[in-house]
Amino acid sequence: MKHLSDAELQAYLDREASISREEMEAHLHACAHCRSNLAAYRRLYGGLKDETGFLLSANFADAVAARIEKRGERKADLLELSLIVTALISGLAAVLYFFDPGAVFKNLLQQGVAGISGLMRGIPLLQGSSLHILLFTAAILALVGILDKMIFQFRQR
Amino acid sequence: MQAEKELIDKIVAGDAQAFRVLVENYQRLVCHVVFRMVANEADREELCQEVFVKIYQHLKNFNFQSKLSTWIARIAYNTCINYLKKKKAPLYDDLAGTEADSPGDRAVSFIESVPGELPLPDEFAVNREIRLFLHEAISELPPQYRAILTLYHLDEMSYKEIGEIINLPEGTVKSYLFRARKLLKERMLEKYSAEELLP
Repeated sequence: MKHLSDAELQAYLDREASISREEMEAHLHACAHCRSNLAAYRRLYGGLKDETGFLLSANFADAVAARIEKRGERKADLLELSLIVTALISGLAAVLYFFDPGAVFKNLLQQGVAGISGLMRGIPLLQGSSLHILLFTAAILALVGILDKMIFQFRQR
Repeated sequence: MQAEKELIDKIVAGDAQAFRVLVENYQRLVCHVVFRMVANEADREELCQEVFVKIYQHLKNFNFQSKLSTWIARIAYNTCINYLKKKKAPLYDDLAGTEADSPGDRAVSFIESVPGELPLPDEFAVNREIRLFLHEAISELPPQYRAILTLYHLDEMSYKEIGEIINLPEGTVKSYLFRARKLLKERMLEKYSAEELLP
């Protein structure tokens, strides 16, 4: 007698059988070898449905929410830090553009701390042009305001 | 489908409660994939959390070209594969391959997770022993095979859906499933008699 193949037994349990159920059952009735194979497969299928041990903690959703929130805060902190660094670099660049650091340093050395007026000699572009100073200050303040609003909105989200 | 779309729209708009609903709806699926693929108990729950963080971050890119469950299971599967690569666990070896952790450790941890310490009637004791044996045999399979078995039997996914999740053709999924089940059946028959296996 030809035994049922593993493919046929699996297909039978998957309800994809290529041979009829009656034919299958008649064979199983008469064949102990195939019956034990089928019993093993039935056990296996039952075991594969077993979820014992597949359990997450009761506060799993809270833990996920907390993790997302923490990640968002870290992202906001990073954004804030990068904006501060950008502002510092821009400020430094502006100082280097408007000042003549060499002249300022030379004046400081020559006249000492008391010679604060020497500082002004190193700012040729700003000397005699208070409009420049006002515009520059206004631009910095506007930039700080916009950045602050952006950070606030990001944190809120 | 429509309800899922509404849920996703709410999450993308920043509704935390909607995301909580999604976590509750899909935590079972994610848990199945992660717990079956990762042996280390200490890392499992954290990995499940990581999967949901990724889902949250990428949900705005989900375009409904596949089912949401398939997309989520794919993220869970890929997260596990990356974790196993980091741990240098064998991923694609043949069915005789071994795992990084010793089977003994896994058996003990699983025994601890099975509720009930009171003496059991013989029949229940045998059932429990077979279940433990089977659990250990499954955990010795390569992760890809374990994922296929879980998605097919526990989550009742089709070959096509499983193929999308683990990026394999439908025919290969079917063939891996057949080989894994045949091997497990043979291991059971080596250890137990047909009478013992009868329910």
